Amino acid sequence: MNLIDKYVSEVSRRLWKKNRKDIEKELKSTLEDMLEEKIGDREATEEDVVELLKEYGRPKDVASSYNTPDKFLIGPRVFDLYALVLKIVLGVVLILTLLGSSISLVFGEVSNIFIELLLIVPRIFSAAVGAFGGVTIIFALIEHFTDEEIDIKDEDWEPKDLPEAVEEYDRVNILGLIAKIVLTIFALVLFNFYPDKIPVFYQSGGDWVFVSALNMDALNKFLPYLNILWILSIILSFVLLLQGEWNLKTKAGDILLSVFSIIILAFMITGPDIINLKGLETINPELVKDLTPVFAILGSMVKVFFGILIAVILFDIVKKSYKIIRERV
Amino acid sequence: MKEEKIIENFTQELKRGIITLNVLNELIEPEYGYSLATKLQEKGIEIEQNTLYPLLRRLEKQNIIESSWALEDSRQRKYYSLNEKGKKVLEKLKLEWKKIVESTNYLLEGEE
Repeated sequence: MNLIDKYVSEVSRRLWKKNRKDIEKELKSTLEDMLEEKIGDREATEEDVVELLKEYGRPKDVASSYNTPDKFLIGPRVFDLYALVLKIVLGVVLILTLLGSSISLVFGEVSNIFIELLLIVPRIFSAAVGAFGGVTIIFALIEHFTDEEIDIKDEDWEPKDLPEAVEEYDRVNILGLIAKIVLTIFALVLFNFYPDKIPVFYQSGGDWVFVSALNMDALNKFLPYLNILWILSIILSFVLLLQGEWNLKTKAGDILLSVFSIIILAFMITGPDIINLKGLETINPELVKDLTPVFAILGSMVKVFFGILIAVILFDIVKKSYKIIRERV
Repeated sequence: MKEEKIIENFTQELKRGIITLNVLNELIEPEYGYSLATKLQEKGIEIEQNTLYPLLRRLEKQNIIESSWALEDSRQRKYYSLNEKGKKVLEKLKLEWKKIVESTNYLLEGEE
């Protein structure tokens, strides 16, 4: 791989996405001009390039000359991932808060319904602010502690040590993968060993009580397939972490897993409700009567959510396949 | 600090002060980054690539120069040049420079 390309790549990943491609092009063009001038009529050797790059400066310094200010709470290297995680987390928080509010809404005494409705907005807002703050703090810490050049001394950087430049969409998103592995393991453990601990809270005469939300029979129908999906997903993530970049096999594997997850989701939509009332029958049959409509709604909401998920994954598959095809042509 | 170092520092300061004026002046005709740097160096204006390119981007953001990519010798090059607003800015800046030179010379000569 061209040493100049590696260098330019190392500079540009520290730049904000807006200018990245443009600066990359210009920097490469300039370095090539400088190289030509340096060598005149003869052929360029690797030594020439190394000398040129060393003279031009450390990638980190070159990048900071384009960025003012220079120190970031959440910088270009990490920002794209931050934005993605933020969107996902806020989406999840929004859904959970709405679910929680609807349950207490259906449960509340009539005179409270209007207050409950009014309370939904501040609840969502406060949950969103909390989530936003949490994600931001985490990423600010990531930005601070992963400044890789903390150890490199000034004169010691060597152009030859530059990592392989990889096309942006082929680069593996390390932090994203780690997050994915952790979440998948969490899901595996939760649904296999503690499925009955997933609660639904409700108010019963002033006290908050919780009851297991999931229908064990329904869950057990799907769990083996989900387990396979999750384990395969973890394996793929580890492979990607090791290889450091996507190749055709891993891309194909990724698309296959997405297809597999769509099939499972489709079955879960047409199958029995995941959310159930069985746990309650023993405690309070009266409550079951009141809760039945709520859980029916919840069940439908969950299915709608799965439907949306299918659409999103489908769109993602199409996008990825399109990119692969475009590459090959 | 050694005298030479002090003089060097102050001289750098002076030179930094005139960089923008000189860059704008050179951009009356379109230039690409590298050719611009070379021309400036030939005229005795030392400027590092690391200073020039960000400067060009800032000037573009301020809307006084414009850029376009051109393909020549199978090399893509980004050309910069003054736009209408930039030309006006340059003219005004040149006037300001003349004033500064006059008043500085006057002050300096006054001391002799």
